[in-house]
Amino acid sequence: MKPRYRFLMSRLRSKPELILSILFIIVFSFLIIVPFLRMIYTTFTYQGYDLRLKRDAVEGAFTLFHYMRVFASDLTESFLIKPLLHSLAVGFGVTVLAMILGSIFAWIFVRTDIPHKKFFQTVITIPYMIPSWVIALVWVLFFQNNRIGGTAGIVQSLLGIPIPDWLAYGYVPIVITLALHYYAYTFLMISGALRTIDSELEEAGAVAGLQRSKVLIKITFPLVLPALGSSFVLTFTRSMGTFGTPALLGLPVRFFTLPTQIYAMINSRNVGDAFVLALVLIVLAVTAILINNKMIGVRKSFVTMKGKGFRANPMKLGTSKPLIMTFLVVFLLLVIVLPLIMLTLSTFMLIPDNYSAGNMTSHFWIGDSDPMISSGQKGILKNEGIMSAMFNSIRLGIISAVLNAFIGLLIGYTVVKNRGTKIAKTIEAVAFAPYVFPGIAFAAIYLGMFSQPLGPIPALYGTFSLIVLIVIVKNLPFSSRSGISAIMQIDASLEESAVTQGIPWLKRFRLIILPLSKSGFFSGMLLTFITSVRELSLVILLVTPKTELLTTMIFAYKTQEQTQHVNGVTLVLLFIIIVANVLIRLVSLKSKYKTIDIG
Amino acid sequence: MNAITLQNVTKNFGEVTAVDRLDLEIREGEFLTLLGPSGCGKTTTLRMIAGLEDPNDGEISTKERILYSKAKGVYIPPEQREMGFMFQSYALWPHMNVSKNISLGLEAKKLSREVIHSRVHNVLDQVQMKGYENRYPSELSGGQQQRVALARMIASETGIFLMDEPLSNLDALLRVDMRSELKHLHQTLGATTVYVTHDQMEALTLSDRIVVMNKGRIMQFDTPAQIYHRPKNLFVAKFVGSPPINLISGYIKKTDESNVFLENKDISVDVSSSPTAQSLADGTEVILAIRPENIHIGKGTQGKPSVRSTVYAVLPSGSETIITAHSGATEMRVKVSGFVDYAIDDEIHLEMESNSILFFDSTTEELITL
Repeated sequence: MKPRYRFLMSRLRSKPELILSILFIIVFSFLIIVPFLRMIYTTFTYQGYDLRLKRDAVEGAFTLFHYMRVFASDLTESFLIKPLLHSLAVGFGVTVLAMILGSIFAWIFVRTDIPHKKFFQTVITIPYMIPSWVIALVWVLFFQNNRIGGTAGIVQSLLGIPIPDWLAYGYVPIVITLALHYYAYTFLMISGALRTIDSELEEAGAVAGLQRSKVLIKITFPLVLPALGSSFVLTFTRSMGTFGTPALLGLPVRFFTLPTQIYAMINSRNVGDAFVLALVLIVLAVTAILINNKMIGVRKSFVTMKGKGFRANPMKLGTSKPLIMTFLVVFLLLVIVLPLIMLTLSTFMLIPDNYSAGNMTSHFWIGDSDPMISSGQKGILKNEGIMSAMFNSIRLGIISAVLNAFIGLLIGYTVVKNRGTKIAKTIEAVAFAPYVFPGIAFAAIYLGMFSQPLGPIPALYGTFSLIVLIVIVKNLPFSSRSGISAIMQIDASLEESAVTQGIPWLKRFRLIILPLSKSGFFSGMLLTFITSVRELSLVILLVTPKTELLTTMIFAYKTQEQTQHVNGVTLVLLFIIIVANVLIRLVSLKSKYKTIDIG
Repeated sequence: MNAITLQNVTKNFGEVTAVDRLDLEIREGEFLTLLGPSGCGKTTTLRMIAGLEDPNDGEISTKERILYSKAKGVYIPPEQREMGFMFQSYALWPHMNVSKNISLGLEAKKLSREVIHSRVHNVLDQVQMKGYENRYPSELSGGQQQRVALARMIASETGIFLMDEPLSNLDALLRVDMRSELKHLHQTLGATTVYVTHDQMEALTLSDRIVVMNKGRIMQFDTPAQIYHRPKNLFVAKFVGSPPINLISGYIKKTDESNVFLENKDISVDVSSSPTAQSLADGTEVILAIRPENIHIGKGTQGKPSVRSTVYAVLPSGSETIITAHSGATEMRVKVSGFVDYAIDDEIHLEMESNSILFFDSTTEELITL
């Protein structure tokens, strides 16, 4: 037995991908699979909260109580049906609107001769970078009415138009503001698909005698249909599961979607029911992803990708050019420029709905504590709480960006090196699983799991480490994907040639794999940084006064109706995101190296 | 003394057996080529020697030590096998310049700065790439990249070179150049070289010995001349040689003690002058094989193996001309030197050299020997 064991060990030692596989399987089981199983387990047992409702209940005993309550009781209507229908309606409305906007922009930028393409394209994807709920804050600024939200918004106070409740809060504004965020996703996906279509295919239609509209309907549309379908499914799942915007615009009028309902339940310590709803959300997301995967399967055989370069003749806009240009400029002014200006302006106004010059003040930025204004909060730049939150947010962003990029690359290495094996497929699938976990429910599980020491891990309850940990795990789906594609682009022989030269693994990784995946590494870091600093639902349960982040600070100010602080801190957050963007761009420009084609 | 020995080496990829119980003894200092069609297991064999692939069974050893043996529980990782390897794609690191590409492996060996410097200098001199030290791979032509890859392999001074189709990415002209470079280098360095290719011409020109492989097994292991003139089986006969060897299926017909014919429904060839044919029994099913250059266009002399056929196509290529001719359904290719001209449907007599005629058993496809 002994030589056999030694043989296995010596082989294992020279196969880093196998060691990594084992490591990932252990770590992922602990950080992803166990929490998920705990979530399911919780739904089948009595929780402390339930004891008040059911006298004979024993905490921890097996029960179908939660399922009965959620699926078949008097509360089903308010617990499940309403939030579910709201979520579906929000998802559907947002997706349709975002698809329309995204398709229009995709067509304009890919297929027409619109001037300043590069500039417009960059600006139009800005919403992609900023948190989706920032637009909701701006909406409140404009359309708030004094019946619900205290002070009146700009439209009511300046123009004197009374804003009905349905326009101020609830379904309509949620859909509109989310669509103004998610159109950037649909735009990127659809324009990507449009770019792969050879315009010769369309020209062939034109030569065959089809009119332009017929070409669009009979040729172009069917060719991008799979991409449209796939962006529909993805936008639908994401907007359905989003938390921030429905919380800001829905909660004041008790308009609950599934994520906000889960949040409300967990806040009132009813975790059993909350996790049942979380499972409903997970099932919905998984179904949508399976549908999407099926469609991508179709798409692969569909899209006309060729090795030979093909032309994409831009359509001449002619007389309609000024019209389309005006549309673009007005859109950008309304959706990006004006909101930013008003957000900024609002932080300089002492009384939120007073637009006179005398009402202007810099108090909210640099003022000292004044018990008469915003409960004695110091100005943002002097406020230790906000500064500490800013520090925490940046720290979280940087740590998760660096660690996620590394872990992603290691996952990519493990998956690609073990390609075709069950191990690779398992690791890839498990790393993607956090994508479907609703943030709040996931956080609630972690809170429970890490409240006591676990083996070598000390109790993480209330620590910054716990926040970092959960953010990293939640980012895994993205970082593992980008890690896999980065490693796939490196020809296997580049590492093998180092192996035969006797270069040990760590050195190979540092000197060959890391430098060769640099460009993907940096863009991955930027995206992770952005998603980490704008994370809200995942961290809202986990922060303590010491570990407060900018996003949770904004949310806290919002519940206290301190508008100027809400908007001011939001601007600080946006500023950080922009700076990160510029920095990463500079670094990745510098790191460009020469590449060769490998046959 | 054998530099590398493979015993009973088997490698499976899932259901597919890539290498099937392979035994191979590679002599010290020889240039050995693994030749075969794609998927025959030649690259897998090479990668197993290097340690980039692990066998499922068997033993691989060098003259000093066992590299891999499942039975004895020995495994030397590829990093410690001390073998130079050259990849089809060259595998130069795109983010390092030429001298760094060469020195990285030497640095890992903890050699002194001076030794590394002089080795880089020497090997670049050997492959005629002096002055390119600071270029990046993307700034070199395909042939130059090839030379750098060669230099990197030589620099490690391992004594064993493994090369995986190193010339297949080059254009035809450059390939001929590099062949003589490789052969010259092998003779000056004297390193044991295992070379993988699917190009039979390359194998014939470069090798001391050739291993012809098919479906994970060795079909023949011999010198180039033997492989070419005495192929052990139909597979080797067909795979080696360009244009391919002529094959005529038929049966032996003995009219009396000394007159033997090979017959099929199209032709009857007098093979009485072939001793092998004489030894065959009447009615034996065989395949006659003869290389195109061993057929001449003649007058159809009595008693010589000859076939009457009609010209189908004439393909001159300068130094030689290939003539395809048909006798019924039997097609034959003839190679003659210089330019010759025939019109389509001209009638010609194809005369075979008696001692170049080979016979293969129709069922076993093995060469029939006396």
